[in-house]
Amino acid sequence: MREETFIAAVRRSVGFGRLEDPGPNPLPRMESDFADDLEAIFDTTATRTGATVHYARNENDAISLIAQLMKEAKAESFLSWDKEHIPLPDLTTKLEAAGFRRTSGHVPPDIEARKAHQIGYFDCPIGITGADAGLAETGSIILRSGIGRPRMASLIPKIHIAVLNREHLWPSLRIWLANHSDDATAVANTTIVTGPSRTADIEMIITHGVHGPRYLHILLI
Amino acid sequence: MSKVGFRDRASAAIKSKEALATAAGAKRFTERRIQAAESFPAMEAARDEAQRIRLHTLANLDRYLEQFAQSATNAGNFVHWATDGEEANKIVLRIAEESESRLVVKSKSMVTEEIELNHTLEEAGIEVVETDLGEFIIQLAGETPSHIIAPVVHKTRKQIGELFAEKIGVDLTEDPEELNAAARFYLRTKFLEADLGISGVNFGVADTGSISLVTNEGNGRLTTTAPRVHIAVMGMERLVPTIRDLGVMLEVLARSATGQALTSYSTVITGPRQPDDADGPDELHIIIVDNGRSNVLGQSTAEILGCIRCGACLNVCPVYRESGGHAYGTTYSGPVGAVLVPSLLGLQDWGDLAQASSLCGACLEACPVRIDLPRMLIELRQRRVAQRLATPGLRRAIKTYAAAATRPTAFRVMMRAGGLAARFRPTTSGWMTSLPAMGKKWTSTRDFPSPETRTFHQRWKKSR
Ligand code: SF4
Repeated sequence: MREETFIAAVRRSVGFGRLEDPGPNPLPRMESDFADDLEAIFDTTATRTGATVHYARNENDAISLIAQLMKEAKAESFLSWDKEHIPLPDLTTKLEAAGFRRTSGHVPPDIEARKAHQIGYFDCPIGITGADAGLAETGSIILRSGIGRPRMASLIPKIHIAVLNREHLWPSLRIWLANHSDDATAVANTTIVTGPSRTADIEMIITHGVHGPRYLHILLI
Repeated sequence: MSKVGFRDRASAAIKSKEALATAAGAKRFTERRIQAAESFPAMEAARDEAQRIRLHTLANLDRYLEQFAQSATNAGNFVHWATDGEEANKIVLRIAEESESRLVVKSKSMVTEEIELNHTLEEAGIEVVETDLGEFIIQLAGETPSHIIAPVVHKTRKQIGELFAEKIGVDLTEDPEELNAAARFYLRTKFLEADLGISGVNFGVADTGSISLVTNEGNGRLTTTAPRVHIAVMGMERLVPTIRDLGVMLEVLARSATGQALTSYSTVITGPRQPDDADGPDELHIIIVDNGRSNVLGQSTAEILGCIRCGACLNVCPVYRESGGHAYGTTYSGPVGAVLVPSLLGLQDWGDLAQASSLCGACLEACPVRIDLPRMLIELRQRRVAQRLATPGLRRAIKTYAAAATRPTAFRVMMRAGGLAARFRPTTSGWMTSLPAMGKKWTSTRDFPSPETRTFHQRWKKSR
């Protein structure tokens, strides 16, 4: 059907004036109860979602912590964002030097090659990403897609490790959006991750890792 | 369409014990929602904003649809328009054929249930796999969902274990963890091999042409990331003006649906994979579906289009809890279904749904966007009565009854005045099988809704 015909039917009904127009929503509430203590709040809220929050003082600590998590999971390989998008510039090089294999996250355009590449992700144990922001109110992290930022890295592995610069903590989604509305829609995909994959479809019992990661580690640096 | 009425379906559901499991699930949902609201002091303010955003969008929907289509096209999407389900299905089929798709993965979507898309695809020989765990179970069982956000709330884990053993050949288990793992394994192969991903849309953002999708399991993200082509099917009323408005909606949706602060994955998609992006779909189609909605927009029940499908009104509804989602006979159950379905599909066949409510007001209290469901239920009943009843006397009497029956005190006064108190005893089922005086003829063929005895507040306290 043509757009004009479709819209005309809508316009006719709008014309009946069944709903009173209250006008657009004014600027959203910007108050925040906890501006000073974002880190502590984030720790509590993220933990409540089922994520684990870690802290590292410097880059070396951070890298050994990640290597430790990978060893505990008996992982041999990882899928990750490119190093310039993770606030630990040496991370991927050092992990590779330590013997972990890095799976390419760049999906080839050809349809068959694409499928073959993605089927290679099937058992991928670890995904490592940066994070564009952390939200204290909800314990969420924000991940934007782009060059060198495979969406699959935060989605397909059993364990997702996200590295977040503590300077990128914000009070709430509302406040982040008010400051970054263009950032959110300038890329193809912006995802707000709040805890690990979760379902309660079977008798309302909450279980994790049904499709996405079962474990979410957030490393604050 | 179903010719048996609500009552028949409800008694079938009650006999099959589906309703029992539903009631337990609904109660837990409500507990979680109330907890979430209590831990979020700004909830009431957020609800006011959410209501305002929805009403403003609907009152200017023509304008926002044009803006959305323009921005979505600029962002590299293909936008399609479908007047009804048949047209939408045809568009999907054409895209599936053009992309030579054999295997389709779907993330949970009410609108594609509404238009029975799976049926169309399967008839064309295309394999369709539902990937939301609950929807997957429903598909294996060959059933229909019974709750907006928990499609298998009516099933026990024992039944699900037996179903998995039979249909996907895993060892018999009742353990939800093991059942999860089995589904993950089975569905993961499908995701990675699929040619086409089909999703619904929770919200469309008019000024940027973005679509937002929320899932807890991550199946929504996989559906819209792994396959080369993504089709998003959107009911035309899903829009919000800006991305900041979207933030408000996400805030109230998760808290009202599952009691979470935010859904595990809230995604904003603005176009297909960009040049040199690591991954994502190469093609993105958005199909905007009317299917009766523009008609509803011109009715006195237009407000129902503001619904964000959170399921809260189902969970608190005493009738839904007693009878289960299948009693409503279509995709949309509970109070929202009781208003939306007769508005979309007509009172002739579906008017009895408007009777499936005790008008206790709990739904309005629970609704995050403050949709006045009781008002619309009464209006639909009145419209139905006006269409059906020949005698003006009875028509007038029922109007008075409808006004009074929702207010216990007024009702008692009216009944006492008429000396009818004894005859108009409210029944536990919420329906009266015999009416005195001129109402006799009515109840010889149908039951009459019983008056509310407790005040809304008493009932609401009890239901939480
Ligand atoms: S009518 Fe309100 S409470 Fe019911 S599903 Fe829609 S938004 Fe939720």
